[in-house]
Amino acid sequence: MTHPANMSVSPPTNTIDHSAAIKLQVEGLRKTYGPIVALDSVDLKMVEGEFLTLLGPSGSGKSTLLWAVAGLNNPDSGRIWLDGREATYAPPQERDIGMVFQNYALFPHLSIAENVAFPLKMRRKSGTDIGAAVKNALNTVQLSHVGDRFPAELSGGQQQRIALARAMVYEPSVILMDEPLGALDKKLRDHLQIEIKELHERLGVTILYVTHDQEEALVMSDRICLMKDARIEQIGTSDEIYRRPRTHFAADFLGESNILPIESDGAGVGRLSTGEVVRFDAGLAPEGPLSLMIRPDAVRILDVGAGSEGLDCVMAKIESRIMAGAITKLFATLSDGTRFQANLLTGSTHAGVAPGVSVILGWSSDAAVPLLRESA
Amino acid sequence: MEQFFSRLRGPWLSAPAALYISLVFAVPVLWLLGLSLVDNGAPSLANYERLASTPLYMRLLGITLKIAALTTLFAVIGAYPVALMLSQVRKRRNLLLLLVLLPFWTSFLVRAFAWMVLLGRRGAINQTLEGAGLIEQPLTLMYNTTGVLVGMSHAMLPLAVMTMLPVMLAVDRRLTLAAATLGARPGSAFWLIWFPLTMPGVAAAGMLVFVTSLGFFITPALLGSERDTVIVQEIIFQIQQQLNWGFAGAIGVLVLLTVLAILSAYNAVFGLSTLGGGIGKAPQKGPVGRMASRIGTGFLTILARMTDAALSLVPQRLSERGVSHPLAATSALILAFLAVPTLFIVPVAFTEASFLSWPPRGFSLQWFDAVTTDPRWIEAVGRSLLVAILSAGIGLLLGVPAAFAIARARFAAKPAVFALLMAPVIVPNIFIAVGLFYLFSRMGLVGTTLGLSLGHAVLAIPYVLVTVIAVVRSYDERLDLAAYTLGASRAETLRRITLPLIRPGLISAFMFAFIVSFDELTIALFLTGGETITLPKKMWDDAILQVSPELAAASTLLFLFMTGFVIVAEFIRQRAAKRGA
Repeated sequence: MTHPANMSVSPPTNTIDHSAAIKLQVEGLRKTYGPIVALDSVDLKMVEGEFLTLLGPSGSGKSTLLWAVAGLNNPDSGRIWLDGREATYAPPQERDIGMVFQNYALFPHLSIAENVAFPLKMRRKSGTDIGAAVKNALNTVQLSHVGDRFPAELSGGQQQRIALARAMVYEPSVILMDEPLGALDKKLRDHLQIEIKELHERLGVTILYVTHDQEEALVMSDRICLMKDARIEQIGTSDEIYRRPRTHFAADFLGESNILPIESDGAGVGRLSTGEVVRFDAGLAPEGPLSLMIRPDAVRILDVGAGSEGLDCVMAKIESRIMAGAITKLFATLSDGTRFQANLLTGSTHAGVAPGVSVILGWSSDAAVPLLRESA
Repeated sequence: MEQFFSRLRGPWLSAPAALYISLVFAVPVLWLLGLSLVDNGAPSLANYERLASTPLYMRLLGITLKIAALTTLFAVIGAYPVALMLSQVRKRRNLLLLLVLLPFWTSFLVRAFAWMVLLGRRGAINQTLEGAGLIEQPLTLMYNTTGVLVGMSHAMLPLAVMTMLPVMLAVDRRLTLAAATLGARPGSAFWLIWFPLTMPGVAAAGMLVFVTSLGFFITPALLGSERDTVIVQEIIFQIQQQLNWGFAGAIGVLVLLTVLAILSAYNAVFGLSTLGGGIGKAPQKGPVGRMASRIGTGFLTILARMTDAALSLVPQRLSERGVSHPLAATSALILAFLAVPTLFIVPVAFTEASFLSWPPRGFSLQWFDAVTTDPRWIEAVGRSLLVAILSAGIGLLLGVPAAFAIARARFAAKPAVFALLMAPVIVPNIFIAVGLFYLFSRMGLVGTTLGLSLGHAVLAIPYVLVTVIAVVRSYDERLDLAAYTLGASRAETLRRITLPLIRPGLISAFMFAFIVSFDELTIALFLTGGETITLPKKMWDDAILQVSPELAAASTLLFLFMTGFVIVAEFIRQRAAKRGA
């Protein structure tokens, strides 16, 4: 057998490679717990080498979906294919998946080496193969020295890496990760995010990842599958979801946003409640009453009298200012009292603007995303 | 007063209980054992020479060990599926748990009587089999080792379940799920992951059942023959008939050494700390433990492959939450074995005949009349209630402060103090009984209500201690700190915050101690006399002569009382647990 470390390396990618093999396909999946619908007609496709994150608030169905893929619950209807084989009701041990649990689920009575060897023993590999593979896997997660220790003797971050090594050592077709960094502190989490991402790119493994942390999803994923109320809200690359959210919820859940109702004739021009005129890409606009979403980081402060530079502009008054490290957040109100936020680099010219000052705020019409208006 | 409460966390709170256990338990027992080294007033090893040179005593020890070992085997094997099932159900756990708790708290005497109704030559089983034409001659099910083992296993099963259950509940169920995602078939996941993780519970249950069985003589005396005499009966015989304290002490030393040997063997392999029900996070095993675990792993791997092979013959589909059918069926059978036999004592109490018979003849309330109007029964019940309340009260008074000390204070002697306070439940009751008899006979306390209450308090303290420690440990001390910051004094905080919150624990501690005393026979056997007898003693005395319908009626009433008592206690405990106290 070959070890993950020797596997072909696929180039890092932010788009789906349509020529790659489909590793996971989910079709019309539905799961209820009594009266509660946990998953409702969910469709999903993953290609080889992809890092896909299921993102959503708690109760959105992301973990239920992951557990269904793992074979740890029985869907009511729909189908699941893994590596081209139908696996909807196959028991977990016949699915050839690797799973990293939220609490790592390392076996406390087995040493680290025995934990990593466990899946290989279950596959009746020979002793020498197992020894070599375990050594290799521990090297890959840079913990080759802890083989003889027991899980309780390792730190949280180390346990997390061992759980990863255990889930990868037998080269499963898909690795599933259920909020694997949830229990770690911020600094360690940031570090391990990068480490997992690097490992993914180096080994070319296919990873289905669950988190409720939008920043984690943005950092790690090739694609993000945003979930809400048991359904998929939007699937796309990090860029797509951040720059072109399709709903209020998507705009709101990932990052900060200004969402302003507009009156529009549908030709890419609209009027704010203040009467100011704004432009947007009419091709993106859904049918019905619209709101316009502008990310605070797309907003600039324009020098008075310097011209609009081709940007859409509004008059605003700065109400308060928060310096949050690299970014300074300015909270303003428009002429009719509507709140509006702008995020500037702390080092930029206008970041020091004082509360009470009236300014002109501008953004490129490319950055304005029309959404179907939602009440409240 | 304030001074006293300011020491609430101090180790001194355990002093009264420690002193009490030392004076009323440790000193008399050691004294008694010391007597074995004296012969005719001079130091001598004569008692031990006699012990070693008489084959009878080694044979008695052999019988005792054999009965204890087989009882342990049956009880642990029977308890495992039940504990496993209880650990897997969610909603109905408390209800099912009651099916284990009820027999756990039902009098050993009542349960032994019930088995006599079932197993006798003309008992329910033989009559049924004969009626069905399956046998011509009645089977000999009682007054032999079979009867003893059936009765003992039945008596010890609940203890084994109650010991295993906390360990199983502490095992993370996701570990078996993780094993499945890693490719383990159900048999492998069970034998290689679940079973080893629950092993500390199995070992603890085995150890407790074995040690308890060693000191148990009620069931062997009632259901066994001469050849099933256990060594504790010999101690009783030596003291009550022969008045040979020195030799009784020598036998006692032999039994205690056996218990110690088992404890230290257990400690070598598993570590005594696992007895508390916790799982050793990182197994700290000695060389013996490591070797045992290596052999165990090989054995379990074989079991795992066999189970997987067997299971692969039937199509598998994931059963989501909930208990698999074979497990449910197995535990239902075992729970029925636990619950049903005791019920057989009820119908025979309504017989019209003057002797026990199956099926009961006619219907009559005469035996209930006899019990409820006979002043000797009423007197015995009254005394039992009084002694139970007094001893539980003493137990609470001494045990609660000690529990605070053990749970909260840090002091070097803590393990020793804890071991001392727990010793009365590890050391067979017969030692407490004989030691107290020796002590109290000098003080004129034998045959008095006070003497028996003081004796039962020795047993009450460990029960109170364990129950209250659990409550105090789960109590969030920040609540006290919050009360201080809000201006409450220590005394006010104790009275208005701490005690109200731990009250459910105190109530269940009292009820445990009450039941233990109410049902206690061994100590009562020695400390009661003449007119002052308790209910279990009265039942025992009657049973020695004959198990009569009157006894069945008394047992039925006792059974109903205990059932009601346990259900109320359990209800209080569960309501408290729900409130998150």
